[in-house]
Amino acid sequence: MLLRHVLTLTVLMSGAGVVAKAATYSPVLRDGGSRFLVRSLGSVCYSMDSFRRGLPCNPAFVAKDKAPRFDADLMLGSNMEYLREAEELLDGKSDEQAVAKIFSRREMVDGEISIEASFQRPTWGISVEPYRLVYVYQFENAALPMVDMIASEEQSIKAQLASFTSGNFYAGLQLRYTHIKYIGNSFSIAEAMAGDSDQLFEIHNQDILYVEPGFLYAWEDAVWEPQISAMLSQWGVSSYKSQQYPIRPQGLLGASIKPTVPLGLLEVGVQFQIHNETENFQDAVRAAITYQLGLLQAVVSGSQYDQSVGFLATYKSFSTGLSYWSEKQNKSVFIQFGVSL
Amino acid sequence: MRTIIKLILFAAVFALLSCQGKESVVTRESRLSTGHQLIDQRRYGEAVSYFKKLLQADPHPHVKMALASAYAGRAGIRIEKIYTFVVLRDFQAEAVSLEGLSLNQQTENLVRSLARYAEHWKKVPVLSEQGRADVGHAVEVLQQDTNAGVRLYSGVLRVVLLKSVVEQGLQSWGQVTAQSLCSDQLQPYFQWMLELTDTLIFISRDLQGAFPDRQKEFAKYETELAVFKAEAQKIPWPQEKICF
Repeated sequence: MLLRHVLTLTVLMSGAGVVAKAATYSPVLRDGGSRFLVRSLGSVCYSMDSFRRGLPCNPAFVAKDKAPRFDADLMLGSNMEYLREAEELLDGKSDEQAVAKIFSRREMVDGEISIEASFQRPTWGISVEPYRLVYVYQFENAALPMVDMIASEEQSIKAQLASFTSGNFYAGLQLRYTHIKYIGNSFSIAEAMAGDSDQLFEIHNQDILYVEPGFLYAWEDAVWEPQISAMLSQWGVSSYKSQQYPIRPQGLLGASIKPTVPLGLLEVGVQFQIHNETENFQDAVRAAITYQLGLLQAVVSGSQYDQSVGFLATYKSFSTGLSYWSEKQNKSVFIQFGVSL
Repeated sequence: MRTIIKLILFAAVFALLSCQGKESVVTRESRLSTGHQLIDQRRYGEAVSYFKKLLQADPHPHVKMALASAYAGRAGIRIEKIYTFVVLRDFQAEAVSLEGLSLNQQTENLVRSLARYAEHWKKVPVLSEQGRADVGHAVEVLQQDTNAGVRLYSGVLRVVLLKSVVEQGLQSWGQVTAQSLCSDQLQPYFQWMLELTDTLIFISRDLQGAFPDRQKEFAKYETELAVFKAEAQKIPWPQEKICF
């Protein structure tokens, strides 16, 4: 019988190598902005306001935008087949077949699906996200495959309150409650096949309440309508400490202008995002440009690590958008369908 | 002007708040990742040196496995084919023609199973002398850790060593048996067989650590192998040279 087990071990051998990247749980996963905005503009969404879906990223903008609106959005990411797999893992189906699937993959996966509805009035807004599924998977070490993965299912509700003082100065507060059910771990193939591998796929439940103040100063009467903003995001309390969903506040300082162009509406923004993993100036900077002409709005944004390009087409109450995001070794496409009333 | 001063103050407060409780940016995962990238670029020597240093500062099972995998990578060993592993667990005997042989059902199943396992055995690489030394180092790195994954990896590497030792012995045996066979020539093979038994004992220990819920089963194998070895060592080797 021992011979059988020895021979069983033998089938773990052989194969070809791949190149992989370091795994991190990106702050984007924990961001409180509307998903399509965050995926298209990145952190610059905190200081720009011409590209709109759902509640603004920075709550101070609620007081600036006087028109009431209701948005319902569905965002679908590429890698949908992997999202199904993530859903199964979160339902507790982490059998050997599932583990085999995980380790049979050699590419990075970043998949997301989200449904969100938001209602905004002057000075306040509320948003409900009843379902969001995220799956991030990274692989490295060809000699002994090591996987870093997180599959999470979230429900969130957020409220924004804002006011203005001295004319052009706006201040807002976002309260965001998120319930997260997730599996997240970093492990080797040997650990996944060993006897105590069930711990690796343990399902965790975490509740987080974020308190996120935002500020905006807008020179609305100036020609290019410059505005500067500040926001403290991802600051709050959690039901327990976790590596996957830590409370790591980040400060966001940004500015945007709307240069006058003969046709359409152009907005250029820049953002400095500072958190405890920011090592140098270049890490913190992100820039974005949006351009609206008629029904179509285009967006380009980038930092030194990733770039994104997308568009949003709006016709009457309906909108659809597509965003392509890429970094060195990972690429994703996000599609958005929305209704505005 | 006042507004601008206020904004600057806000900015300063935010910067302070966002950097509060600043932890070490470099985590174990990021350190491991740096070394894994060296392995992925096939820079095994650098990976070995890197993980050796890292292990001194952080003797975590993941660091041990990473160092062992750098040695194993240098020896040409990669672990994949996980699908096959799963298929094997739900093993269905292949249709091997055994007609004309009068075997009972149990023996027939065993023969079929061995045929299937032999296919997998072929996939295990045979190591060069340097490769064996590397895998030996890898096993040494892993030997004190009780983590189930570490034990399983150690078991896998020992199987690779086992195959190389077996292959080398068989090759040498083929050369010896071409000539007349004498007892002094056989003695090293007896020692070789005892070494193989030792390796199997170590593998059974690794499996006990890798699968704690089946610890008794594997402990039984270990005991049986130890008994076998003790019995074999009791056999007196002939003093005079006997040739066949």
